[in-house]
Amino acid sequence: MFLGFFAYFFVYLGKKNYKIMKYNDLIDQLSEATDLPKNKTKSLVEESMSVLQDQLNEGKGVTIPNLGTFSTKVKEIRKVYSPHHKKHMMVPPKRVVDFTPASGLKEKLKFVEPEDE
Amino acid sequence: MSEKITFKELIEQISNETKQSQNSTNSFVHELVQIIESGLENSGSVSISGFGKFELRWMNERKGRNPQTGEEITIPGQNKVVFKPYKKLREDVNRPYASMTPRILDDQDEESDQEHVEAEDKSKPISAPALNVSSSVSSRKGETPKEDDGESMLVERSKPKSDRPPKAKPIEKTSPITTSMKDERDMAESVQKAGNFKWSYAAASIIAAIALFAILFMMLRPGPTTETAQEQQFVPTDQPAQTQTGTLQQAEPQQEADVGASEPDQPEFLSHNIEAGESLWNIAQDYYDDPYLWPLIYEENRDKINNPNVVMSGTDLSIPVVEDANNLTRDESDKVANGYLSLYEWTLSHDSDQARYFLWAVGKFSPEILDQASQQVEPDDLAFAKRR
Repeated sequence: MFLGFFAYFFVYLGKKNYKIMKYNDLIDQLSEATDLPKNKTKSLVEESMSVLQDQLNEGKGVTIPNLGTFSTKVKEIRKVYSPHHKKHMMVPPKRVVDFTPASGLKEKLKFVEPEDE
Repeated sequence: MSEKITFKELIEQISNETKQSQNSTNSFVHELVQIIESGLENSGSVSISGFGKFELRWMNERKGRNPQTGEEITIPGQNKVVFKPYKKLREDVNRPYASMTPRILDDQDEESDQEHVEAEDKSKPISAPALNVSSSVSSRKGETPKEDDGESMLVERSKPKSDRPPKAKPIEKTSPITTSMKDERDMAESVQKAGNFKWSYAAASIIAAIALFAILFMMLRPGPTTETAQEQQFVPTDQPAQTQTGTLQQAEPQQEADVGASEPDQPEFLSHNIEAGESLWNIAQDYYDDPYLWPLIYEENRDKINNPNVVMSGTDLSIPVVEDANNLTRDESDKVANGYLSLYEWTLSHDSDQARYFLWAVGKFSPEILDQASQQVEPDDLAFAKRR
């Protein structure tokens, strides 16, 4: 009995805190907005993301209006101190994804307080 | 910075991929952006599976400086939009550099690296603004399709560096640094490889050492065992030797007759003076390349050798010449068989357990002689010799 109540209570709590937008939520909302079936929406999103990723793999950047700029940048070789090895280490260069939000988006979200934070 | 494609090009590619019209793709992506924006606004985090996650990160109020006037200002706390690529995207993008791994610096390298790092630090304030300027310029220009069309596929790491030189001052400083960085990188890789090699060399040398020891043991072991075997054969049994001469004399006439018969075929005898440490076995090895023919020598010098297992140094032996130890003639093998037979008889009177092996050797070299001698030998030993 008590256990059941507790379980229900936790499930309720979990639902209430379930604010982070998961991939499925995104697909749900997008399919509503575009009047496309969910599986269609999902495959479209995946394909557009794979195209974007291909561009990034080739080292090209792209600016998506109102969202921001995706690009890659190379982090140069650098020296760090590894507390584990207790020695200085050379970290090899690395190419990473760089995202710069569009200024409109940035300003818009600057002082927004997300509900779960 | 890296090259860019325009949003229009991206839309074209996506519409090619999805077989949708460009219009619908365009509106679809805009809807997607809308959703991401509203998702960020509402929950602070939007995840796109297989790609990455957009997040709002709250930056606390901090103190900063106006870069133009240098006056101190407080930057109020605000949200920052960050994008965290997921593992697949991270790995794919980093693929050109994936083969490199961190290197632990030796103490010797430290100074040079320090210099290198300092140099890098110096170069950064100079090169970084330059880069920012060029990138922002290119991003603004990126909206117009012309610039990017020409240089589409050229995605080289060296590209941004070649972009730098237009500034007059940095050239001298940056270009040596970049080369040194490349050298550093090469060195890092080579040192890394060398480190790996050291381990493999160490392992290989240890294995080789073990193998060497094993081979040495294998080589040494047969030596002592044969020596002990010989020593066993050479056990001096002097007292019975004299009593045995009587029994030997009975067999002598026949064998001497055989020897006499074969003598004309082999007129040549070599003389050999036994030196200390030699045995009939060794001598046979030296002269015939086949130590198992030593009874031949024994047979020839029976008058000088009391005990076949013990030969006295200084004794002169006559050694019958064998033309080819591998292909003995009939007479030669008969002589060897006779030698084994007399050995059998000698051994039988001293150590009857070992004697049968000599009898077996008789049969091995000449079955006829074994048959001839069948009356003189012990029936058990004969059976043993024939069974083998």
